[in-house]
Amino acid sequence: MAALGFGLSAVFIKAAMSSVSVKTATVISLLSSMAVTMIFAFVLHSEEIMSLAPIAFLWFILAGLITFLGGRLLNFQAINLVGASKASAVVSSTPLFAAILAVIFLNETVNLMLGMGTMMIVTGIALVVMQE
Amino acid sequence: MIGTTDKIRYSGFIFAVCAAFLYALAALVGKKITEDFSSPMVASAFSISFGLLATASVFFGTVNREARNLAGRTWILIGLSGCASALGVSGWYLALNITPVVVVAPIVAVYPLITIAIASLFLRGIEKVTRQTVIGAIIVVAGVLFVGFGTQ
Repeated sequence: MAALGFGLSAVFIKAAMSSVSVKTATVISLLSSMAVTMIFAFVLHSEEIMSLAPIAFLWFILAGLITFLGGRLLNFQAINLVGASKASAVVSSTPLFAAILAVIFLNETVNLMLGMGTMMIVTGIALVVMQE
Repeated sequence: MIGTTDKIRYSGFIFAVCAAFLYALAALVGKKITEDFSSPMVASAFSISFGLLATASVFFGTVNREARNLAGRTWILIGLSGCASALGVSGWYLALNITPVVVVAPIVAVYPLITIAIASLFLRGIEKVTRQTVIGAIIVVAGVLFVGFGTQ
């Protein structure tokens, strides 16, 4: 369900892009995303929501700004310019950046698997980018 | 010399790399939130709400003008995209509740290949899926699996 959801999302947005700007598409998609996740959150975690600490909302705001005003907007812009398939291939390199950030900020170590994975991701992205 | 078409194309790829970086940064923030404050599902719901508030505030003029004139089909497609993305996130968290991350992560990591398969079926008139894109995506997915196993 998760993989299908992420895959379908990019295709639907590409199909809609011909008649709407990226900004408007981002806002409307966030509206429907919010509706779905709020339903799941209230059905599964209503007690937890009622007892959230006020400081948690500052972190939610930070996450919302980075993920949606930043990430989703740029992701949709990329889908608009290069297409759903190519943009998805590049955006899926997120774990590589997460690993780099974890090495820098969380002092995690680089091992052989991480090194090989990095080389493969860079090679794959280069193949996707460098084509006529 | 780089032509206008190439400039647009490369801009798209730069946006995609920046999006990947921001999603990774968000994962770090998400880790802090889920360790200290709330479950991932709740964090996701409220982050989306605040993200919507911020994005709608920043682009209010454009969105207000365009939304009035949008065709019903466009509303449905964008709405479905948002729902699919939310189902993706919800499915991810629900899966983690019942299955170890070592099983869930590799399955979810193949989503670019699903995008390519669906795009080649339903976006035929809009975008061309080349063999090089498919091979590149397979190598990226394999690399993501290596990174995933390497950081556990």
